[in-house]
Amino acid sequence: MSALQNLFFAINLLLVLTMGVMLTVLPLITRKSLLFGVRIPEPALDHPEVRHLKAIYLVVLAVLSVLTLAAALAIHLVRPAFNLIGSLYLPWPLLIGQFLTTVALWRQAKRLKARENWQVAHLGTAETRSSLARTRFGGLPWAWYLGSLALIVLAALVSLAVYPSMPQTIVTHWNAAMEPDAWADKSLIHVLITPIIALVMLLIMLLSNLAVYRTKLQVSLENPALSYAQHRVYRLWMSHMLGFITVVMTMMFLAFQPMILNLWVPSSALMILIILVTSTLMIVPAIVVSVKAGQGGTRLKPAITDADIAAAGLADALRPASRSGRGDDRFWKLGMFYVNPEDPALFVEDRLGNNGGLNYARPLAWVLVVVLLVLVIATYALSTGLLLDLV
Amino acid sequence: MIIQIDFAGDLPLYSQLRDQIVIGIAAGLLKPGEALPSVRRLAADIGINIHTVNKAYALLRDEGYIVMDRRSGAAVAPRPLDSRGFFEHLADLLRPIAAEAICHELDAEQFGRFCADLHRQVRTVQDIREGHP
Repeated sequence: MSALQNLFFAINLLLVLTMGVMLTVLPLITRKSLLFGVRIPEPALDHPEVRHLKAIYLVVLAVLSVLTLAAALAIHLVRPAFNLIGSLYLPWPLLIGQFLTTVALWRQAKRLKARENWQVAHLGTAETRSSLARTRFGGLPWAWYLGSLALIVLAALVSLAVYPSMPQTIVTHWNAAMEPDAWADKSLIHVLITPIIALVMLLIMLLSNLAVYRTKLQVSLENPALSYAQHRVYRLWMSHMLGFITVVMTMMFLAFQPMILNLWVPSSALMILIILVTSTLMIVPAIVVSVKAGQGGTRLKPAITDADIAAAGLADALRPASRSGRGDDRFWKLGMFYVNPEDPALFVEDRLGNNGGLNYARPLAWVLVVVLLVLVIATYALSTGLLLDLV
Repeated sequence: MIIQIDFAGDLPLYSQLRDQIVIGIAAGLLKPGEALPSVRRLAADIGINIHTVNKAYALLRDEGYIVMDRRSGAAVAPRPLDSRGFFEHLADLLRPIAAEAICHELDAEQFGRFCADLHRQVRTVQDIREGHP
């Protein structure tokens, strides 16, 4: 087994481990009042059955993660050449297992709520100044995105400047030892494809940031000023985290541009180092922010400013008492998919974990899903072809 | 200010929204001239139909609590409000409530005190906010 294959195995383990940990801790970073997509009242949080369901999830996901790690090890021992392809397909059984576990636990949680006759209020909340500010594009950390855009434009301009002086036939592919093994006539699309991909990724990241930014505020009735402050800090953290990842991702893509222009070919060790360092710089902040902040910032303990109190208002005493009922569960299909034709919002807070959710009653949500699916399938087709070449 | 709509409440959603904005203005949570969010954004943030917010805003505009401009959107109306016809309006609102109070054997003084307490409750919020409790 070559050193390279050992390294690919290490990447594989790291990937599966990250994914396993992220999926396993989902209920811990979810809003406490949500039990697998079912809204439960505060006093029910300590109910033994609630703890039991959460424990089942933790155990099942831990087992699934260990099994996936074992599968990665098996690939390494039996067919080490397939390590990289494995990293593409290993996460899927884990994701499907997680989905099925969550649906099963959602049904249990629904039954539990009905049996115990737990009542929760169904409230819609908004903060006028926050709603007003988020109408415009202000408040997004534009420096990260404009910085990335500047890098991309610079790379494209340099590529265009170098293009005329490139030989007619250029190297388009290198083998694992970084020796050229495929050639083609030079073309503009070939030298510009990396900046174009980087630009598409930039737009996807900007869209994610917009989703975080547009997601509605959920106010805890116990302490509206605190939940407003948490949401404010959460939005700030998430925005800067996404902006930072965008810059790192852009630099990772553009690092290969000199290679595409046939100006300079890194050693395979350097190339792997670049990928490892940039992936770490992307994964670690995402995990740290998700776990430290929790859903909508519910794990944060920010200092509450006068502005937060002003925003939350002192009008609680002036509000009629809210009625209890089934809550908003009926809009959440399988406890995961929000379908509410009355709600014009496209982006909503997810019911499990810290990812954004979509309102599937909006046609634009389906457009986004299709675009994402096409991107994922295209990436898989391309990567699989490329990696099979390496095998 | 934080607006909160109760989907299980007795009042229709548009009138809950209308009431909260009026209380917000009275309590000083919304200042005269302060810009309000767009109909679409507010509807999306609360999670209700755009027409519901539109109806509440139109009602508030007709009652003179907010002003609406095609370009700059909705804002809290500047003071003083036009109070012509207000007493007739108030009498129409209060008459059935006074009748209910009589049915529940409240005398004029008790009913008056109750109204005064509610008036003070809203005022107190404004006073605390302006720093002289």
